[in-house]
Amino acid sequence: MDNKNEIILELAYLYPDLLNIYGDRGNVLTLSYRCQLRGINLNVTPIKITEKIDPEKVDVYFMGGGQDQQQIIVSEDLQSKKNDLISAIQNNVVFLAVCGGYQLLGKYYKAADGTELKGIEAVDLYTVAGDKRMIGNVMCEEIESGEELFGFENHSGKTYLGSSTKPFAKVIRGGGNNGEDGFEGVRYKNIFGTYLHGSFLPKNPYIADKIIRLALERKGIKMPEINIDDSLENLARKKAEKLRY
Amino acid sequence: MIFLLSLWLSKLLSIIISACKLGQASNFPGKVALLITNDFLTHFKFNKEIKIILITGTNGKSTTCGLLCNILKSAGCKVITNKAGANLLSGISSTLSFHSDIFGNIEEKYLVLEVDEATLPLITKFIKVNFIAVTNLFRDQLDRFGELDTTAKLIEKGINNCSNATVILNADDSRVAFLKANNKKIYYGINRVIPEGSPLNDKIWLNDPQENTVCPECKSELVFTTKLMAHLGNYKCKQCNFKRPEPDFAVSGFKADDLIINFDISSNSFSQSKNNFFLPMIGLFNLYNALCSIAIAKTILNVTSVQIQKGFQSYSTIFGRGEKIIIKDKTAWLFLIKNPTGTTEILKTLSTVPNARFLIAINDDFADGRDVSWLWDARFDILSNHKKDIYVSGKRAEDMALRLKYANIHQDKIHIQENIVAGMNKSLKSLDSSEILYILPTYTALLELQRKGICKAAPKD
Ligand SMILES: [Zn+2]
Repeated sequence: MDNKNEIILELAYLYPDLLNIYGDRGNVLTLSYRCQLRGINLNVTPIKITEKIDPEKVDVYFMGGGQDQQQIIVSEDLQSKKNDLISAIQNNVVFLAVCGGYQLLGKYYKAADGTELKGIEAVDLYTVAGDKRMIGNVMCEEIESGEELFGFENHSGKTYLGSSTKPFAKVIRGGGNNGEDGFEGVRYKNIFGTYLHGSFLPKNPYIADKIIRLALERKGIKMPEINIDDSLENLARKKAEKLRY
Repeated sequence: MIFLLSLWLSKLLSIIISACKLGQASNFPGKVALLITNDFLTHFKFNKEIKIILITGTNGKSTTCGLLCNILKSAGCKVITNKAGANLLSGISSTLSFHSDIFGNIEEKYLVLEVDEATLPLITKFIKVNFIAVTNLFRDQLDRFGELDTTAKLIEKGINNCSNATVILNADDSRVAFLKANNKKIYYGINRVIPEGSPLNDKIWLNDPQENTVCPECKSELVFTTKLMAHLGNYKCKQCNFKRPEPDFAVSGFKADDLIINFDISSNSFSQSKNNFFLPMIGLFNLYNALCSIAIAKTILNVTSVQIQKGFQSYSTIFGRGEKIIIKDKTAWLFLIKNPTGTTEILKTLSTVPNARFLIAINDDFADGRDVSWLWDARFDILSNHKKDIYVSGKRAEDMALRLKYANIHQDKIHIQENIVAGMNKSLKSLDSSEILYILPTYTALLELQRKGICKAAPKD
């Protein structure tokens, strides 16, 4: 069975037991499925608090969103992983961060009462609590490709990007980062930050493939080109186009 | 005098509403009465021996309330209760005005009410209650209250309004067991390891949905020696002394098959050491509801095991919690699905039923939760060995189909039919004579079936 040509990708799933309330595990399922179709073995390693990550090993990081109490625990624990994560990100490791996970990649999350939840400062962005919750079905357009993206946002935090980063997408319907500038998420190095749940990747297979491609290219491996039957994905996307916010 | 006027108006309105078949008079009459007299509830004159029991918590209020009423009735008690879901101030005001005489006197000796978590402090401000039971605390799927702690604080406030009330708490739910009150406390819980045959996924990040695993005292992580469903189980804090309290009423063993749960209870309040019951329902969450109803019934009145069992058997399920329907010689069962934990528990049971077929109907109206992300937290992978075709319906049928694809169900076996009635007819038609259809609709999908006369039970409103 030992196949010399077998391609292996290592995914570190950060805090699956604490950040687990918006179906975000569907993202990992999608990456795993689409890797498998291409003969790539995606090894998923869940990382709990206080557990060490092996930064040499990891090709893709994933972090979802959670409730306030859980976010506080995660924010504290992330400080001990901060240096490893920042150097990995500088080395172009691929990182998908959704909602709370996205916020924690930035400088801080400032609550309404002024208390600050520390991020890891890997990306030039910060988030402040807003007084209006942005909640509904979002439609946007990836800036790099013009590809339509769909998902559900549910956040009161307003995220503002610094000048060294680019937004991920242009909002067509929904709030996006802050409900003000018409942009959604962040792109920096190989980081994808977004507010979109749904889960996000099952309905946006284009981005799933892009994440896999970037992870392979970083290791000098060419993405195996195959045809994938995305008929159910396309039906769900067509439906999502017609949803109201 | 103003009270009497609002009482009469409210009574008149419920007569008009039911006479003209304008729907259920479960909220509106009380709403009007409250507009005129905002302390409406304080004016009722209860029987001197009355026992007032409130049941609150995220899940299981209606079922626990229904089971308790049945136990009390089989013990010969006269009981007043609110309609399932009429659990806000207006619904409870409607209930009292309907059951009182024209002067606001209430003769019955038992008042059992399911109460919305945020409404609890409003009720206990106006009425002196004797017992308050809290079933569990989950993050609200509809996001009404925001964080779990906000809900817990509302319940604490409700309990603190009635320092003489006995509180009956789920020991297995850390946030419920932690509720701060100086009241007398009775705990219930399940003392058992993982039920046999519970399918675990080999990938731990795909296991049962759970939340609330943080110590409510010191915010450290909780460690579990047993976890029965979601965050319910036997827990201990890693840092401080907080741990699951020893239950006064404990399930010491159970077996779930053939749509029935058979279980034993051990408690000092029974004369025998072991008491066996069976419950004609499915899902561990219903075992918790039954256990809670027993804990309350035994605490307020010395009911016998026979009376409890009689109460369970005569219980006809409420809207969508397991209703059998027969259409053109074909049999179908309806089980409402609304959150990852409940759905996972239902799937665990139904996946063991031979000859089961499935129709899953997902809507995304406000009452269903507009975000369908929860489908990804529910363990649909339990169906991965299902050999037969599966039908999906509802406004988000396509999302459900995609979810099933990722549960390793081949897409040739997934049939999409957005219209629920059409989906039901098609899936019934595809059954062979030995098969039974299990319909799993979300709330408004179920309402649609009810409006078409396909299922009978009264909806929550
Ligand atoms: Zn603690």
